[in-house]
Amino acid sequence: MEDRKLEAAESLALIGRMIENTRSRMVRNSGRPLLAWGYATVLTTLAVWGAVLYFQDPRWNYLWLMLPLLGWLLMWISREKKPEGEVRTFVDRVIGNVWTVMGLSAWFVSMLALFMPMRLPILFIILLIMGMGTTVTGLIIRFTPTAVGGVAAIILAPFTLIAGDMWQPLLFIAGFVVMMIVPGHILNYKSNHPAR
Amino acid sequence: MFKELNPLLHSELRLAVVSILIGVESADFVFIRQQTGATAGNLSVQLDKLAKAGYIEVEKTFRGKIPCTVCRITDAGRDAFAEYVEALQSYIKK
Repeated sequence: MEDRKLEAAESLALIGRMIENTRSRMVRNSGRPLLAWGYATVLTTLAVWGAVLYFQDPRWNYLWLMLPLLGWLLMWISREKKPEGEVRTFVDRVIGNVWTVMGLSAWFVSMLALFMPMRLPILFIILLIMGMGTTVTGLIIRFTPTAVGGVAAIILAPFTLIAGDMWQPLLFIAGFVVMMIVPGHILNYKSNHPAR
Repeated sequence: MFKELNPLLHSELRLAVVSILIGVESADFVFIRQQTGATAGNLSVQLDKLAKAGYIEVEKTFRGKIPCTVCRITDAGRDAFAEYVEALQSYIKK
């Protein structure tokens, strides 16, 4: 592209082309955040569940504190080594804000459950909050598997209230698999194979 | 009656840059270069002209250790783009 004058029709075509290219651009590995946080949650849940069962000591619940560290570690490991050009859209900002609010709310409730003398149905609350965040994200980016996965997690959440101690973590893991891991892999496949 | 076309926007590369920025909050130099296919030197010159006119803001920053130039459209740029499109329409209708 050069610094040349255009005909009126050429100008309009160029404007339309540039806006459409930017709008329809899909970043490689778009499902990366869903996968990083989905796997981090599943691994942490398995670690806490296994440790509490094996040692019969509820203090192993403090292992939940490794979840944010593991999430950020997986995000860092899976980052693009050769960064593409970066563009930030209104949708990016909205999704960022949604997850800031959801993430901080989940963190706040988790801290209450871990350090305050109150009994909270924490797996139910977290699954509900994350399910809401995932559903909203799926609707914003118009990606059905994410929206459906989020709704499935919301529906699954109340079952953690009636399930026994043994089954609660499994339901929690199932929720994260359907709302983050499965849609994350589908999103990655779609963003890395855009022609199909 | 034809409206006058803003000479700053009536150039292929500068119009492409503003068209990209009109639909996003910000875009970096690499992205704009990928979308326009322009050379780095030519793009730098055109970004500089748009920034001097007050149509875009250019922020020089770092991503890790790599220098990064982030561009955003300003309100003046948005107004100029809207006027330009309106003027274009008067040409198309005739």
